[in-house]
Amino acid sequence: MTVLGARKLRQLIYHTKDLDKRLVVTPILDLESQISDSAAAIDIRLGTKFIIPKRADVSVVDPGRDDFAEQFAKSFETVNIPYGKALILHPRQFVLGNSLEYFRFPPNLSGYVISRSSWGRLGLVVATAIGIHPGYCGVLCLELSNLAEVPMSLYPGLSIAQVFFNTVTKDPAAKRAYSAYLVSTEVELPRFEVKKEIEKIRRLGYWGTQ
Amino acid sequence: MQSYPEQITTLLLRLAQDRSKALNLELQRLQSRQYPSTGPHTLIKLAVATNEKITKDLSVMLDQQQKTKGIPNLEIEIALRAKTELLAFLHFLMQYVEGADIEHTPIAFIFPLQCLLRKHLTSRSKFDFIVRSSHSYNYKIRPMAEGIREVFSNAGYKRLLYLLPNQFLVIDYPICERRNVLVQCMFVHELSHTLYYRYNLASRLLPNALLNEEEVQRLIAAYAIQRVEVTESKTESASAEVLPRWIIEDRVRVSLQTTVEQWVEELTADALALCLFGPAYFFAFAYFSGPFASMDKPSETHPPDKMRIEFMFDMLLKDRGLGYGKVLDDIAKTHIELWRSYAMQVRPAVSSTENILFSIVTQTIRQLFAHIVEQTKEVTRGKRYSPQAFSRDVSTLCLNLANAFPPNEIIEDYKKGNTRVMEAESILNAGWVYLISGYKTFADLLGVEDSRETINKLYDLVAKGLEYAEIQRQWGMEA
Repeated sequence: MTVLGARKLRQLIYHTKDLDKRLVVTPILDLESQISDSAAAIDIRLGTKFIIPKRADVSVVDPGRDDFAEQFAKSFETVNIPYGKALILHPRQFVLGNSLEYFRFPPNLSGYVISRSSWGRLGLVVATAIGIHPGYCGVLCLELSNLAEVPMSLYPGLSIAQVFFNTVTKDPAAKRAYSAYLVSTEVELPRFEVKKEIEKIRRLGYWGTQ
Repeated sequence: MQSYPEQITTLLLRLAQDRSKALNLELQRLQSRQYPSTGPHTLIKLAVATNEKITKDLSVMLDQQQKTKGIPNLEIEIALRAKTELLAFLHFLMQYVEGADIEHTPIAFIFPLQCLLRKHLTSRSKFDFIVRSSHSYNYKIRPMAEGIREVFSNAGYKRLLYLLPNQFLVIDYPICERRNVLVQCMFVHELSHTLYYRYNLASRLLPNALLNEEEVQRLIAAYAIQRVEVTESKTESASAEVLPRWIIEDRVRVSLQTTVEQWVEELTADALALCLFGPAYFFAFAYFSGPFASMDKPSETHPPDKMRIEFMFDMLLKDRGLGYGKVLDDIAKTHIELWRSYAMQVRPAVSSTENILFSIVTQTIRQLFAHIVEQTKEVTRGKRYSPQAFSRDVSTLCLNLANAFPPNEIIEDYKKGNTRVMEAESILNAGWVYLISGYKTFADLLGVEDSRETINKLYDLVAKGLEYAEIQRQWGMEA
């Protein structure tokens, strides 16, 4: 696994004509600071849309229930914070945001998102579990959490996290990865179909008690 | 103890204060919302300042009323009415803020619209606008500044008008189309009505609108016969009088003139929209108007949609038009030709005096097609979206969309890595061309069976392209 350096990243973004090989990251508002020569990552900025959990008239959010999507939607609210204004993230609060930048990964690259250390030192945790698969296109969902003891202001447009890129051994038969969040232009509520899997797991439990 | 009329006056003043407080609460609610356009805040700020001033003035009046019982009630009543009417007007104005918040009006089209309005409407004067979704299936631009100024002046609150820009527009669009950024090209037609007056195009075009005198006489005769028939068929009708021929002629000529004026304005607004946005406006018009009503049906204010399509086809593709014939790909051209062949299938109209009138207007307007094209090209020189820009940008941007990323920039030089940020016009044209010619590929790429979801994803990409391009432009300007 090779982590790509700044030079290679710039080459893939700006000097690669072949769209199957090009890495798309747009808009890069400040090339020098977002892909600085000494770095091996791209700094990404915070977008304007956020999904915030709220206390709701929902007994439990259970992926095994038929009304999961409905229950889940009830327990979150969506807010738009315009550029120039800030989202206040309270201690221990968790929100979903998205990157300002839109990505399109070629089939031989994957990536992962981590906090920028300056923000990390303030107590902000970004992207607790984000691996980006080859072929993904869309904005990146950022899971933001404030681990500090005081609220912090998050300004849309500020560099908040960084994406590292790795080369992937290319499988010639592999098609572009399908993801439920393909071509997402803003953060979306989770969409996962686990009902069938839970049914199977329940049957395992039944078999185990015999 | 106060006398009866004084008690009433005091009561009225207190009630007016209550109204003012109630309005204040509503203004606070509206102020706490987020709006993608700046206009709502401008209007709310004006309302808040005015309401505060009214509250203060009412307190002063109440004090005076309590101190000097000698004030004539009529004077107070007149002053009070002026204030309460203004309060009601402020309340009324706030309806234009509803539907303009970020939840109902997406931000994507605000930036390009702002640029477009700034480019074409303003010189040095201050200007602002509200974009709001409504439940009326229509696109509309309403100039508001003059009306507001008049009411404020009449109520004696002229001083606060410094808060109102010289031009203030309210732009309505149908709420159910809020995600469809491509159809928002319809705004440009509405904007073009404003340009029609700004460039005084009526005076350039209408002198060339010559009616066929023989047909006009035939119409007058038909009206006269119709009047007689109506009168004879009504046994007890005293109101259905037989009018002298000169009155009928006068009415017919006024009606013809009004219809010609309105139709010329509509077609010129279409022509201006094509000049400013290119084929994107044609596609949006056909998409929006196609399914509604009868495209053959004219009205006093609008020519039949089929005529508008025929006219726009000529303007886009024919010689001496805008010259898009050479740059549109075959699929897009076939699409436009399909609409044109539909437009040419004119259904036979029922014989009636109204239809004779429309037929005279149609004849007259057809002779004006070339003038309209010429004049609109003339007034938009230097500001037009050109076939060259279309040819340079659109196919590359379609490639962006085909590969599922936003059409906000293109790499011009792969060696140097130079990029160029796109204009909204190119982005919207690419969106339309790709929707028409590449939609199937896009659906396959996404692997989504639901066609609505696929189309929405495409709209989202175009909207993102518009938003990014504007962010890049503004960031560049700051730098």
